[in-house]
Amino acid sequence: MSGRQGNERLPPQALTFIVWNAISHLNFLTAARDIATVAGRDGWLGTVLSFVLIAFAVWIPIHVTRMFPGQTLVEISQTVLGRFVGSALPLMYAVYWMAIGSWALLIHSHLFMVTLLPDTPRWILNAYLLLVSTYLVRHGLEPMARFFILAIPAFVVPLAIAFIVGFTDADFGRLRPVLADGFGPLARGTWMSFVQASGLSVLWMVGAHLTRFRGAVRAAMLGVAFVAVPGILMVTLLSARLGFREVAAQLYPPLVLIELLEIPGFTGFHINALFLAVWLVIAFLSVALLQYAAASVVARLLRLQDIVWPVLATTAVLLIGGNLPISEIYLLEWAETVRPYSVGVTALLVPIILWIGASWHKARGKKGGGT
Amino acid sequence: MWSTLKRLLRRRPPPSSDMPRATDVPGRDLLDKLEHVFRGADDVRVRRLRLGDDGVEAALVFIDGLVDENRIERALIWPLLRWAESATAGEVQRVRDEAPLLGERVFTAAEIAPVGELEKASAAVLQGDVVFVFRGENSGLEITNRGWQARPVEAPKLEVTIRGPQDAFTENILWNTATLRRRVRDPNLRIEMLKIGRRSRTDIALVHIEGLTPGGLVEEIRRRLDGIDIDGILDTGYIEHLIEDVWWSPFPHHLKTERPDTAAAALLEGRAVVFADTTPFVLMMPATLDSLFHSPEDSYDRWLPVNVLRWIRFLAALLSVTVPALYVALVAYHPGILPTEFVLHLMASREGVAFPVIIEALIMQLVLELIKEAGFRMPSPIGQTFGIVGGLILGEMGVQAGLVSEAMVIIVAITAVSSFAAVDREVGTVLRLLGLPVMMSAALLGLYGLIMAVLLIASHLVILRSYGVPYVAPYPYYRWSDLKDTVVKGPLRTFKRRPSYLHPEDAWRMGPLKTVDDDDAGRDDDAGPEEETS
Repeated sequence: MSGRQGNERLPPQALTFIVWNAISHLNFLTAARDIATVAGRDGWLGTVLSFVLIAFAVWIPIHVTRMFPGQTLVEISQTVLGRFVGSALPLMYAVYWMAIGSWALLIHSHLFMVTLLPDTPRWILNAYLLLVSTYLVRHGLEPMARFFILAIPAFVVPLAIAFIVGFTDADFGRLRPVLADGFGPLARGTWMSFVQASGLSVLWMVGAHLTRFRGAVRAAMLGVAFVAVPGILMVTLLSARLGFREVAAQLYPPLVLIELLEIPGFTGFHINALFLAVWLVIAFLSVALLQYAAASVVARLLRLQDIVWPVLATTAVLLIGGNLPISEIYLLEWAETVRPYSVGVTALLVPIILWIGASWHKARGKKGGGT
Repeated sequence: MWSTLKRLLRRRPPPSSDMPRATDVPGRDLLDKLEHVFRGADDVRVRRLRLGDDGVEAALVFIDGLVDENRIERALIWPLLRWAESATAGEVQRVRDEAPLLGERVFTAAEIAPVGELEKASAAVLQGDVVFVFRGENSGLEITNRGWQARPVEAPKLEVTIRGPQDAFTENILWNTATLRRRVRDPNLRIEMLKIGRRSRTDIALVHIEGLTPGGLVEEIRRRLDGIDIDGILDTGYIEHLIEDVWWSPFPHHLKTERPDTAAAALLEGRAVVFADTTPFVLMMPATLDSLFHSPEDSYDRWLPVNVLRWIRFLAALLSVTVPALYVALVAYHPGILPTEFVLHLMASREGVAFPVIIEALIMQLVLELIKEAGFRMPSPIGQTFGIVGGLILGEMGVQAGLVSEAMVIIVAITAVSSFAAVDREVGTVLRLLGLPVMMSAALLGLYGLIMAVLLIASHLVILRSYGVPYVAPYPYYRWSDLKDTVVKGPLRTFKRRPSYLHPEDAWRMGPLKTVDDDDAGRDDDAGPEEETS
């Protein structure tokens, strides 16, 4: 019927919310600690600078997919890098997305097992989450984008509460002196803040579904801003309220702010369970987006019309990955040591190579009279 | 074995039309055939007449109770016999050969058409028309003369409002469409009549405004209606269940109303409306979740208080799904979240309760459904009393017997009241019943289970579409102007555009509004030149 949109056609406005989801991930729980560890009191400045880098990394996939309308990472890399390398690269991305999806599952289940459900087996928590995400993902990207919008309150409300608590008794003098230890910590903080956006590369699987590219960059940058403003605020307020050493010492620093919350009759320590329950929505959306991206790669590589089987396959992989017997300490170490390289490669290095390759391919096509 | 399997799996061909075929029915003329078709039907009347000096036999065939017998006498029998008294044999023979001449010169009925086939003649009789035939002829006249007993127009029973029109649709489809036309006097209002139901042959009307309702939507509805092959349609509910997008979804894909003003408003927004004969409830499509919470009164009352009422309705919907589950999760898993004093009171109230909280909740939900269902089935004065007395006594006795705690009675009462606050009765029931699986999930995994169950429901809502329109429209990425009639409602003067998510062919519903200030300014402008001239 008229005006009917398929479940794989996205208006550019939807990009705002996909970018928001791709960047935010579970980072509001852990990012402040990672940044404070490497950047000290200049962490907030590093966070500000990192969003310039993130904006650039968001722009690349949109720009390249605009050059190849209707094509995703799979087709673009096959065109630019040749059939063999061009097929291996998307597969590598799918594995990467599964890995960070599993990481998100491990972190979220750990959090719930520690705080709310100490006796519940991990696999039950993950299986339930994956059951719901599979149901959502198999219906395509457009319903997911709609879901992201409806989930905004789950993102905004806990953060707003945390900010209110953070502002009371915040000592902004703790942020000074700026650059006291030189540019080294700032650079490390900027990079550490940038690599928090580990799901950013899923945008390579999104551009192909846009109904038009006019307004797409603006929508994407709005999505970046939607994370940047609360992200910068969170890092700044945590350092100002607790001091960067305390932030670095905490496992999940924003929860400390919630614990400080005082409502008559309630104590913050108890309310943080409610905060986590709301935060579960964000974890769910992160896993769903990564699952969609990986399943989409498999479907396109195998030239499948329907995404159902790849989605079920990714569910199985995530279920296994999310239940690996890995200690939480190792998971957090992984985030500090491996993620700076993996995100650097997947969100910057490979995209820049693809961008250059795509530009060269287009230029050669024009010279040759091709399209 | 394969052949047996194939035979078992082979679909039975749909039965062909059950209407009689002229070739299969014995009889020398149409009258004989009609008599044969309706043999044994004691309500079918054949009024025989002898015309002219030669006594040419003719008959009027109709069903007693479906026609207006006085009008038959006045408009058909009396003029016919008076004409026959003075008619010559040649004239009688002429009208026998050309029956439409009777319609032009003798009968005074408003609508007369020739009918030449047994199928059409019998269908006409069945729908309350009169068929006039001459003996020995295979054609006759179909005379519209429907006059069955009908319920008068009454006030709406389910969609009661204090302000606004107080008339409701009735069981007569033609009266209903006329009521709608009275409200929308647009020559582009199209009413397409269809017949659905192999045996019931129910009249269905597809109503839309050409140039406003999207053509694709009308085509899609027509396609779905044409695809229905069933023996009978007794209510629009049958149609709804047969043409909805996702048959297993608990959420309705169509809006329903018994109010002509609501149907007219839907048409003016760019929706289509489907009527069925013998039911006062009409379907409006496409539906969105949001529109299920809009009351007709919202458009008549002041917009500021309407906003508060809408928020309450949406809050009630949320409460009816989550309150029992939240209670179960907090009591069974996370009592520490609650204030300490409250927890102490709560635990004290659960002191003598023999069952775990989930069983307690299930018992109370069951009691609630029992009281509600029994209350509906009883005559209304007794039903109300039964509801109140049953609720009070069973609640009180349940607490005293240690079956449930006082807190649980309050929780179930909040759930019930919240679900009854829904504008659409069906949605209220769906939300209350959805609370059960959510509660089970919370009983298994506490707050985690509650949130995941809500996420599952939300996932289902975002994948749903009604005739291509996302069920959760207009919230995600539509025009800002569409958000003026959602959880919040803006003043009518800002509703310049129709909802864009319905893709109306005519997007604008309002021209520039002429305010009092404009009038004054206009008057000043008009006065200006005059003053200058003077």
